[in-house]
Amino acid sequence: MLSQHGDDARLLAGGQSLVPTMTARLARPTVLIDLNRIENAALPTISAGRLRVPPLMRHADFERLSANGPLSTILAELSGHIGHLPIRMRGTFCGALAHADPAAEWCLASVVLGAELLVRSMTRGVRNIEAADFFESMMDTTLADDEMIIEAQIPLLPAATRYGFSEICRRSGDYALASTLVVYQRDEDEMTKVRLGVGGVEATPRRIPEAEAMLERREPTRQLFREVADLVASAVDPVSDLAADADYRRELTRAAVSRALDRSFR
Amino acid sequence: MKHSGRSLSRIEDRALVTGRGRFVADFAFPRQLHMRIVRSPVAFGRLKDVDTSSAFDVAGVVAVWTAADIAAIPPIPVRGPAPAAIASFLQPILARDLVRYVGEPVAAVFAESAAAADDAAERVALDIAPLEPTLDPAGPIPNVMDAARSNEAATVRKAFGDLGSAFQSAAHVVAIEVDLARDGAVPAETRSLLAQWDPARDIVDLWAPARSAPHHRDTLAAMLGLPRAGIAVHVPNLGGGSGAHGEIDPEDVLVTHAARVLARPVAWVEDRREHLHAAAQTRGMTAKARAAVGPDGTLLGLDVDVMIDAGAYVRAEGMMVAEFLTAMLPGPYRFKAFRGTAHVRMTNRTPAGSFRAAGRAEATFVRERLLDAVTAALGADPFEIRTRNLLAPEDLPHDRHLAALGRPIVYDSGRYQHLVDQTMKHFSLELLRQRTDDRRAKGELVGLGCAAFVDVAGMGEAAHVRLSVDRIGIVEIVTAASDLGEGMPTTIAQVVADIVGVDYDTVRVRTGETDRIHTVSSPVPPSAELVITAAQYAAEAARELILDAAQALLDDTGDRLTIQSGRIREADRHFGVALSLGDIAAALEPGGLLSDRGGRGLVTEGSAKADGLSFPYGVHIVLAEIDKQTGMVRIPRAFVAYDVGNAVNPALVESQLASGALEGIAGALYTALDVSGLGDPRAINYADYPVPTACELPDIEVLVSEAAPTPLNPLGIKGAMDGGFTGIGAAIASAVDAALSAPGFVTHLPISPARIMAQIRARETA
Ligand SMILES: Cc1cc2nc3c(=O)[nH]c(=O)nc-3n(C[C@H](O)[C@H](O)[C@H](O)COP(=O)(O)OP(=O)(O)OC[C@H]3O[C@@H](n4cnc5c(N)ncnc54)[C@H](O)[C@@H]3O)c2cc1C
Repeated sequence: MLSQHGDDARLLAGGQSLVPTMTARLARPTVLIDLNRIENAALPTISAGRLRVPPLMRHADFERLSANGPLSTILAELSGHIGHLPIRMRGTFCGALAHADPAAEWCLASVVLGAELLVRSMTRGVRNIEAADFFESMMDTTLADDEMIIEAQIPLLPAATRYGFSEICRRSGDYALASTLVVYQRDEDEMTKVRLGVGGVEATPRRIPEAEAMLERREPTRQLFREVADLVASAVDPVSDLAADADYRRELTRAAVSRALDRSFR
Repeated sequence: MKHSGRSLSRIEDRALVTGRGRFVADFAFPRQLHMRIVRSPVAFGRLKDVDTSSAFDVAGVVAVWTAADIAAIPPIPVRGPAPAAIASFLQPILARDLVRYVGEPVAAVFAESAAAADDAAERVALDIAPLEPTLDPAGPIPNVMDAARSNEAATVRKAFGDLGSAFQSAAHVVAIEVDLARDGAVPAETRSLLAQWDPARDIVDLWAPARSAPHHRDTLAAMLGLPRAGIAVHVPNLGGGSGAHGEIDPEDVLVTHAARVLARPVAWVEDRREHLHAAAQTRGMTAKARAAVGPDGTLLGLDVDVMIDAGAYVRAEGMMVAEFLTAMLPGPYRFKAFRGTAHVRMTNRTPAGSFRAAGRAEATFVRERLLDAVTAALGADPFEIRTRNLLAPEDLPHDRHLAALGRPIVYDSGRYQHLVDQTMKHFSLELLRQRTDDRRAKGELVGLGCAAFVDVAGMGEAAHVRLSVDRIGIVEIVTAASDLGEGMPTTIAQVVADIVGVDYDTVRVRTGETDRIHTVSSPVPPSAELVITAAQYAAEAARELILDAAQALLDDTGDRLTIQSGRIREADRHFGVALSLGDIAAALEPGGLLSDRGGRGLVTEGSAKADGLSFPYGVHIVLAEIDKQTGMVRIPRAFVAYDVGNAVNPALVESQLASGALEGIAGALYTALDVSGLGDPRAINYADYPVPTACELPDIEVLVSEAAPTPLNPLGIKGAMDGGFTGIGAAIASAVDAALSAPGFVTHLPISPARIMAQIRARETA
């Protein structure tokens, strides 16, 4: 149907972004394709060392993932930051990626955790996209008009994983003004395989390689964390909007990075 | 069992908490039309043409009106006194030649469904030549672009004493400049209306969130050339209010008129986006204030000049905000000379209305900021400076030699220092102060702030209540006054129950109905105190009637009869029911044993007339904590102490005060209705207009004091609707200054965390 109706049609998943945009008459699709009646599209599976997230897996489903392990813990914590309960009961992981709000928790998580998206079109079949290549700019992705995300795959994490997440907003449930997710392995006294990304700061969430390099194979100390926070704050090119101008967002980035790092060290 | 003075649960909550409250949008009639307003998309421009033709391409469109279709309807009048020259500042129902704010109604579409009306409204083509908008209320005069009128609609001046000599003799002169962003009440329920015309009776029934149903009826009747009897106003449940709805707005006139002209019921429900830019806003102002101070910190004189952003038109509230802002600037303090000037400035912004603590919150912010500046200039203690200047008990009643809307400002009663002392003791504030200072000494950004204020209550001229008892003994109270959601029905039931001798939760209180009781309107809706007083009189008359009738029926000449739980018995006998209220009512009706006493049944009336304004007062103290990494402010504790004279239901007073304080915290830290440089509204939904939630807000700690009952009504009640709000913004400003150890830092509400962060950084580098 998507290929038939082109950009007149929109997929309807949880409706938590699409419906508000339609209410404001900013989106005016003539055809809505309701995904909610697809069967067996709500439950995640695990195979080949990856958590496979289907199109109808809701934010709230991550709060009680049956698989335990660091990945589940991280996703459970992040899901709690998305909006409010009624939104989490409806909104979907894949919908959030397609919507591509730069401050969305799932967009940040998929970039930092190296998720891979399976995207399918009727005419061209399935392609795989790295999350880091998926987001093009604010609310814009490489998804073509006739494509649907049929699955997101997130690599599982080893047991020795440490992580820290921080999100700065004015009210609980708001989109983040700045957020940071950091994940690393604790190897003796050192941090290895460090991945650190920021969301809600630039037009798309992204990892900050300079910061990862600075942390890699180093002993975690508060002093180091402060320096990394300063580094990230100067490395980013923050957007300005009504909620925060670029200078202030830079400050909030510093706060988010330093808090995420502190929390990883609990 | 006595009801008054107890925190009984609200009778009106039975429906509300079970989801069975009925709001205007819950009513509907068969064949009703839906109205959609086409609004100006630009802040200022010449309206060259309105082309409605393609709107009719949408199926279900019945009519589209522009200014030409309603040319006979006059602009919205001002209620209450206003200078005659105000006429050129009044808002036409639909824009004619100029559009003057984003959101100004230009056309009205009526269609079979809300969706059709929305679709058609988009197709109404507006040809507007944009002009440079005026957005700064303190901008230069005159506005060359809008030659039809001046920038300043009115100037309100108040003064007492010899200001010149006060400032000449001053040891210190302290000056500040402060301003407030525009904000609005933004209630959960947006504005909504439903009108139906019954040609057989020739009556338009209007369901509206009217603040004063009789005033709504009379104003609409006058504007539409109808007799008073041709309109009946019904006010159902209100989903919040605080001033955002309930005035005569263009939509009220359109809906009422359309119901007659189109001979179909007409419904209008405002959407949130509309509400945030088209419903009345307020608070926007800039002020310059100076204080003359003696060597020991004694206030000698106060001189304040305020520019009020009244928006594009002077709306129904007229001069109310300017009048109360200036008249209440002196607050609870003693000094010899005062001058307060308010310039009612026109801008290309949404017309201003009023909002909780109208004028008084602004006055308190200016005055208390100034007192904080005095404190800083003298290196004094903020509590000490206030205490030193408070009016003493022997100063009261205190004639301020000022008037607001023509009504004298004479503080009726008050023990200000007593309230401050009680507050400090009750909440152990000395200890909290000590702890806060210790924390700050250790590097935390925490501070306490305070504000003292006098509020105004007892507005409105008259209230009228009818009490009747039916044959099964049920007491009904009818008043045209609106239940604004603050608990008036319960309070009335409590007072009446004690006097008539029934259980309060059997009393039925009918509010907001012009059809059930004859009431003339007054420009200002009656205060709850006035309505309660009228109910008290009706109940006293009823009690007398009941006891008289009972004596006659029982052949009992003694004075030993009492009424308890609806039964009349001899006071010294505990057994044996003599008569029920229903028996008495039946006896007084035609065919009854006492029908010769007028044959009207058991019906009484009560009227109360205002003898003047009453002046409740309060103290706000807040603790502010600033996050050093984000500049965000948290208010972990907030204290409100307030004197209401007499609390008929203390829990209701507390919840009024707490809700006011929460609304005040929102306005001080989160919410504003700002515009871009072109005058476009910045807040169009609840993401841009961040109302704080329970997660961000503290429990408000409330002290309800009854130390100074007003002599103006028999129960001594002063209003409590606004007092939670009035001083909280000023107290937060003061606490943030203290937390940052930066006196005078906060000059604007809401306080921007980005500015705080910049201040923290600036200090680090310094
Ligand atoms: C008040 C509020 C607060 C919120 N706060 C947050 C927050 O803090 N953090 C956050 O991340 N989000 C927040 N959201 C958004 C919420 O998480 C949304 O659920 C999410 O962004 C979109 O998911 P959805 O399933 O609801 O998608 P929908 O709204 O149904 O669709 C969104 C877009 O994605 C497309 N789409 C949906 N599924 C697919 C698919 N499988 N393949 C391709 N395209 C698809 C749709 O066509 C549409 O264009 C908030 C929403 C609200 C209303």
